[in-house]
Amino acid sequence: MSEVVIDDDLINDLIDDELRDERLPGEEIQIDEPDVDEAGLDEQTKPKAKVSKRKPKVKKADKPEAGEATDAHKQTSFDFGAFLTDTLGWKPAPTAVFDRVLVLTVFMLVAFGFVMISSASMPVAERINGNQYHFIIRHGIYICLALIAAIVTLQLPMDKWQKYNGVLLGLSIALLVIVLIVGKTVNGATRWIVVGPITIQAAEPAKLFFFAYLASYLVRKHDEVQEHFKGFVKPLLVFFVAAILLLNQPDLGTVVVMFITTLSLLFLAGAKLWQFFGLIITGMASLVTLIIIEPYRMARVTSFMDPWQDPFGKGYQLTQSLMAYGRGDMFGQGLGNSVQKLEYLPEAHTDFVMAVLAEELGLMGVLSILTLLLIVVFKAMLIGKKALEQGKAFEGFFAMAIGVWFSFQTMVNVGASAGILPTKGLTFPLVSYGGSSLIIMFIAVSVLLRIDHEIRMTTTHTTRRGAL
Amino acid sequence: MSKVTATAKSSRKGAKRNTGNKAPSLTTWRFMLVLSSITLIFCGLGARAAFLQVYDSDDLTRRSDNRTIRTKSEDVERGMILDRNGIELAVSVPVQAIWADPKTIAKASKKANLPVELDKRWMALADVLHISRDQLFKRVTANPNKQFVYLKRQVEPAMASYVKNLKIPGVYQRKESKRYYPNGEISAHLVGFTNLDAQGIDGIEKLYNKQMVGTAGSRKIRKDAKGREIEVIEEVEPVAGQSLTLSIDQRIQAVAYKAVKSAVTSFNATSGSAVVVDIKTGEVLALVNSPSYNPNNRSGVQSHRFRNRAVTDVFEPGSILKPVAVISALEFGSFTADEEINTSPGYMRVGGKRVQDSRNYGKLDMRGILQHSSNVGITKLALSMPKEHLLDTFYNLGFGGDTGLGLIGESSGVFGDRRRWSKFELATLSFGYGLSVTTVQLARMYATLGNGGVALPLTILKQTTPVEGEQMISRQTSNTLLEMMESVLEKDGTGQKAAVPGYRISGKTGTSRIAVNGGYGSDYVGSFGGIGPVSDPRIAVVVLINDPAGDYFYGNDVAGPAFSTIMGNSLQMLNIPPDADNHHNSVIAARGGEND
Repeated sequence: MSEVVIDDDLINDLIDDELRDERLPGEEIQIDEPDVDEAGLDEQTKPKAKVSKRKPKVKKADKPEAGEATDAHKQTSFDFGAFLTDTLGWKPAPTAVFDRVLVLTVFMLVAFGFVMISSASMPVAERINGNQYHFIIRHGIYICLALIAAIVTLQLPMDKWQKYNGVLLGLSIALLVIVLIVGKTVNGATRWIVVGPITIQAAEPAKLFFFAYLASYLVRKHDEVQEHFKGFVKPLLVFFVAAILLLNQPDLGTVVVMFITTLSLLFLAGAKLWQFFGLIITGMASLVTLIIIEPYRMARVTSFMDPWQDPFGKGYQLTQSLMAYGRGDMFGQGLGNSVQKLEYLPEAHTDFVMAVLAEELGLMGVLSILTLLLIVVFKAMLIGKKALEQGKAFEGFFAMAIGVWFSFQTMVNVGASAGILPTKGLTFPLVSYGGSSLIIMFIAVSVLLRIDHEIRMTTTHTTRRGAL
Repeated sequence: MSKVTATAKSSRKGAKRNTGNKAPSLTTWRFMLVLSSITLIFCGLGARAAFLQVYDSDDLTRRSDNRTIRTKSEDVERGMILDRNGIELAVSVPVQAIWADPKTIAKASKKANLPVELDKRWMALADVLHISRDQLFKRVTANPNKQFVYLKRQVEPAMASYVKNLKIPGVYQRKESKRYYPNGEISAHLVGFTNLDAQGIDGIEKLYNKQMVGTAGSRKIRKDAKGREIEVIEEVEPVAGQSLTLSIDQRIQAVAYKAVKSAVTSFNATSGSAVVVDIKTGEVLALVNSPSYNPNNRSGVQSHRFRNRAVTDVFEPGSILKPVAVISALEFGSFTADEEINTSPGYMRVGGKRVQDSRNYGKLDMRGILQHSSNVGITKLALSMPKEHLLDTFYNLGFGGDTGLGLIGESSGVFGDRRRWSKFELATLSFGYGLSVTTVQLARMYATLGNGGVALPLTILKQTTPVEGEQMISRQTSNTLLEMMESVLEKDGTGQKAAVPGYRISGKTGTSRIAVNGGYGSDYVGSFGGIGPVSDPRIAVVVLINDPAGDYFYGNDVAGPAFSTIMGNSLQMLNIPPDADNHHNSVIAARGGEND
């Protein structure tokens, strides 16, 4: 019951926070703190509760807790034991301040990913670096960084996202421009901005920021979207700018994911059906045109359609990937027993981590990880729905954008490795190796948690108010 | 524009139309459609995975295995062929096969923009391999899609290392082994040879190929893309090829070959063969033919030279077979050894046909008949008993049957299994016509005679345990025969030239006409078969000279000296003490002379 007390305190703070919306950034920090801390603690407690199997996270979690304990614990007299039970779901906790299932699922995905990357990357790492732990260590570091990013994000009220959506869009476009100017080119694709020791894949933050802008736009111009062609076209023009920049990298995969997400959001926001279908047709047409004018894309398309035609040339990667799937059978060859990862699959730890998973853990492993991701996507969509129902339209569209984005990115990644889509360098959300992707995905999940948290707070707030 | 003041939640421009300040709401069916689309996509991914992993699994796994599983074979060296004393008759030496990959070559020459024809390294390669340049260039450029073509096989290590140093892309080497025959033509027919793939295709090499080849080891492994072994699926240990120890004594073999070759050369004969058999074991100590060939370089050899005539060629033996009728008569008891038979007037008529001697020998006992090789005498012996008995003796002594050697191409001769034998036919049979035999069959007959009438199967492999023989004629008969035949080599015998100083030798000459087109021409086969030493027979030697073209054609003249050389040297090499006391000193003198 002590939780009720906590919540009340928190709610009061939240209300304060809401009221003092227009405050200067400097002042905000203090006021946000309790709320932020709460969210931060959720995040931190999670790995603790989930037990020490993921060491880096536990360590991570300890630090901020120690640092913030002074402030937060004084104010909220936090009942840690109750929180643990809450997290593990030993008893129903309708008053929980965050979505336990979502957090649990995300951590399962990350754990899954860490194990698979460890397994898949060792042979490649040994070839490239002579140190088979090269990618494992890095992935561990990325997870730590992603957790920090997530904690920071959790502290950020959604209003800020909405308020600065224009800035975010600008940042998004700027990143895409910068990468074309100073980006690092690998395998003919200019996708990375190198800043000292850090390498950022520009498209990853660009995606997230664009979706924030899009959600905000749909709220601002929601009448126009529903009534006018202009309202429908405007966000698409922004998208086209981003798309052209992306295609110059080139990164068709991201364009496709962004396009489909934009389309889905317009659809959800109530765009007219004829516009929608018209757009789908033009979209398809332009996609086809792109493929036809760029011969390398054509090659990718033809190679994915029948990889066995040229299994040692264009179809090489895909045939190796398909063979990995085939060797997996129902229950897999056993963890660590993949043969295809042994230099046969060139990107075993990134683009084709699913193939390695399929080979080692079989169909069961594939279905498990798809199910986990589907849970995350459903959570996102339902959080979005709840937010819309509560009138938090920006939050709602943003959450849905994240849901659609995750599902289509998954589709592109798995589809490519399973030979139903042309090969594209997109990651499997939360699983694949890659710092930028992992951090951005964590931020996206934090946004979902934050939205959910704010909804819960409002709900509890109203009921409590009512009760009072 | 906007007259309505936007309040709290609405965006600044959001209220252009009078739709109220209502926040955007969600249409349920749109939301459900998106949600079900997403679900459908995930189901699709799952279904695709299921298709690949369950339905298509076997096919994909097979394709993967094709790329990842390799079977490496581990060649084992072919076993050696040794003589009875461990001297190598056939050994394997490591050499290289040089092969090319035309596809790689085409790619490399295109990359370097240097056609094969102009590449100095290729010219050097052609020269070192003794292939004409044009031919070599053609071979590697004719079909650029090919991935394997032999350039030259069995290349000596020195040459191979030169080729390696040329570092021509697309030219590779593969280890293989070359068979080398240290004794060359001496044992060529017997040992045989292998083909380029180290499979025996003639002689002992073919006969015992299986034992000598052994079993190549194989490792079925899974490899990673860098070719490193990651899993051993199946492993077969290699079984080394066995070495074969022949019964041949290379020293005797060499002497025999030399003797036969010189006889063939001196008498301008078509061919000659000699077989030396260890009487007590049935082991063949020497088996030679002339003309022979060099097994290390077989190019351009006429095919008839490859024939192991001692086992493949049959001929009507003639008088060399006369002991058979004598044995038969003795065994049957129609005559005693000392009984005199009148051969006057040196000819007789049998069944309307004439049998004659070279001159009238008058009254002869059996010893005399053999000594002078009297056709009339032997005919009388042959006709003195039922024909079945005579024929059985022939069979018992191994004619018309196999010798036990089992060599490649061995013939069992022609000994017609006729119901009816005319008297004349029986007569001709008794002096060695009307049947065909091989040299080894004759050698076996003489070995049986020397072995107290016990017939042993001949063998080409060194025996460690004594072989069970079969008593074909009585010991007494065979001993009597040996003594009688000793006279052949004595002063007034027909085989004086076969005599070996210091040893008591029994033997019999043979001179037969070669049958041509239903009659007999003027070509002869001269032969001599003998046993020595008589006091304790150890070896049987048969020498056969086919178609001597000069003035000499009698067995004594053409085969006798060769027999003497072979017999004498063999006895000496086998450390058999001379048994002819009266000749003792002269033997040593004679031998000393020979050894020089």
